Amino acid sequence: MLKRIFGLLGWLGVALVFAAVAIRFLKPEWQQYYNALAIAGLVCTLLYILSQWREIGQSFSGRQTRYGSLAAASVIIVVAILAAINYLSTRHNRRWDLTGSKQFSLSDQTKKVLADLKSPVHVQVFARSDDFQRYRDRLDQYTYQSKQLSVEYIDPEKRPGVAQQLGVTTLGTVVFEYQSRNEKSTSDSEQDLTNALVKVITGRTPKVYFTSGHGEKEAGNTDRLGYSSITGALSSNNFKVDKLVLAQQNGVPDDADVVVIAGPQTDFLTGEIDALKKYLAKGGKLLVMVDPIVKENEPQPAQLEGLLKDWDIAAGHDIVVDASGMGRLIGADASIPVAASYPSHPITEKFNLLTAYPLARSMTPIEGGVNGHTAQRLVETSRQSWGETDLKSVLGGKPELDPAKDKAGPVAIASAVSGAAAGAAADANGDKKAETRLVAFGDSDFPANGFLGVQGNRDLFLNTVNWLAQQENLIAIRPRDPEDRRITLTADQQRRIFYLTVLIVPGLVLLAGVQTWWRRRR
Amino acid sequence: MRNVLAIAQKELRSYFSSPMAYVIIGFFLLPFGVFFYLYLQAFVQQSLQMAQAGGSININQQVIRYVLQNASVIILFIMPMITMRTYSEEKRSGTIELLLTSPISDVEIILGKFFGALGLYGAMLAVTLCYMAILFVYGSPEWRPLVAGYLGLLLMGGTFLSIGLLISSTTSNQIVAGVVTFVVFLLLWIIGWFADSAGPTLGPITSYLSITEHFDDFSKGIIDTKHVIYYLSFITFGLFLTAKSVDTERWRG
Repeated sequence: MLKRIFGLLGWLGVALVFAAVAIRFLKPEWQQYYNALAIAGLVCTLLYILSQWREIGQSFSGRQTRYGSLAAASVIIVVAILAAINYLSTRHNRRWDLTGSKQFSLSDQTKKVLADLKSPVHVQVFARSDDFQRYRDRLDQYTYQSKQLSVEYIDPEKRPGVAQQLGVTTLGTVVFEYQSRNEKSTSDSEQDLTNALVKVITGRTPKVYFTSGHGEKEAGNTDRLGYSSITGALSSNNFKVDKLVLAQQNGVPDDADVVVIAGPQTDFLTGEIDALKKYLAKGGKLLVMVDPIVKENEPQPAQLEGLLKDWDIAAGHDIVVDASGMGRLIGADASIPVAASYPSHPITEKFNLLTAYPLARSMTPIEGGVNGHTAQRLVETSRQSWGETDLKSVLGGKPELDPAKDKAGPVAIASAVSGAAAGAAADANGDKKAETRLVAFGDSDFPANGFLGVQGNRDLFLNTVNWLAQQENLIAIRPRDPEDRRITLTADQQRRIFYLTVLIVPGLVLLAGVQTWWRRRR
Repeated sequence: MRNVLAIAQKELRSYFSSPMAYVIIGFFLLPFGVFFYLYLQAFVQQSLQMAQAGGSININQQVIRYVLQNASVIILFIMPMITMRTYSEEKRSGTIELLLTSPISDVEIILGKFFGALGLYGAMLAVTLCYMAILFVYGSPEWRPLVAGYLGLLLMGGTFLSIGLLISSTTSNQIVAGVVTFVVFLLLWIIGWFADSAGPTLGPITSYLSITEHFDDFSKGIIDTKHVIYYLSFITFGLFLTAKSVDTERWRG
């Protein structure tokens, strides 16, 4: 009776394994089912095999038991030896790449970086399970070159926790972790991966200065309008944040990678503006965020506006009003314009989150350019928005579009400009010319603590600073394409190959089989 | 060694004097030919498109690699047919008694049977070389990655054969031997699927155990000692267990 049950179990195991394989190919998305089926099948088959062993065990007696335990011991010893050999062989392997273009080998630059690696680097790949192979093809070579590198493959759809923890939002992100620093790459090319690796090892921390002394938002301030959260985000993205009092210092410090002017209440002095101009001419990077003037009779910051105008950006004397009602999604009224789609620019590449700007002025590129600089629109509000010049009406709550005075939507709330640095004597070796970059926002509240709850605000600010800091590649590696070996066939040749491969060769072999069968029958 | 060769030869002759070998090779070639043709056709199409656009495409990476990977799966289905009769047949017909009492050692018999089956498998692969020859007639594939691929196929096939031999030695019923062998192969194949969801410690171990996983590098044109050692140790282990299993036959009576 028991024997029959075990016999049935064996067949059940077979059926379950078949079902698992079938589901895997017909419905690959039912992963949990085929995993469960395969495990159940494994258990059934193991039980069946065990039952067979039990029978063998039962027939043991005296001398046979001794033989049996001897055999078992020798099996265990052999397993242990083989396991040890395999363990060692994965650690001390040699690899030969036989492809003509050495397609699966790394460049000398990467090899050198990996050879110099002294402490462990942990790599996490966030991609769909189907894409793992592509990353394996590449990263296996890295792990071969250096034992310090360990790679983990994570499907964010199955393990969303880890991705969130590291702030990974796009599929196909590779995170390099080294001594509690981390660096991301969103491509699988050797150049990008190696550069991310170099960055995480060298731990270059670009320095961001926030100007102070004009009532700007403060980096460490934890109030609703403070910047403490966003500066925290900057530090976790490997930025160093510091304060800069221009009036006390002789110009912008040399180690500044980005200078941020975050919502000054009063205008800058001429000397300060000159310092900034000098900094920009050297290839400086500046982020200006200027709020609209709300109080009556308060002067516009003419000096700052003049600086922006030099770089082809006009700061509007208005408040952008958004009547599209899109803001209601996040509980905002018309005085908080929102943006959901962005003109094409490196900062907003692959970026499609909602951003909101409480009380913003327009920041528009000046038609035709100024001094050879041409700014680009970075953030635009909806078509139902406009730049309201009658400030009182906004505060009164009844703004109306006046086509004669107001700027019709869509209104640019932010603009960006870049250009070769005029005053920079070409870099030491003269190979790379410094570039000036400037971004202007008509609002300084969007990255403040109270508004970071809006989905995209935080990411947009970080993207902007990243672009300004010019986190570009340090090593250039030419991708290795496989050798070009192609085949061209005429339709006729293809047909002949079809007959040959699918019909003639297998047919001949089977015919030979029939012939031997015939000969043996006689 | 001479005994091993003699047994291997005897095994090979018995394969080819019955229709079995031809049926096995024929059934292997059918899907192999279909895969080969489909990948080649897609590649030719791409060649035409790329002729205008430029860029480089490579027949080794886009045809041969995938054809060999698919072959590794077809082999999974075909192998049980080769190994299922090796020992079961002897047990059923009673000739195993003769073998056990003959002056030839167990190890020699096992190796002989193993190399006999490997010979049949080698013949099967040799026929597929005709297909590769077509590629050399109409184009110029790189031959070195191809050698790596076939070395991988040979090692992987050897691994399957040693497991099949072991299972065949445990039962006197050919059909049971075939089905159990097939299920074990399937399990060793699908075990790799769990690797990604099995967690950081168990994951690498399960993916390491998966027989087909180790073939990937060979199909790309890479020879890595760790894969070679994996296959060789698996073969050793399978043959060792077979020896133990045949040995129990003797003292179990």
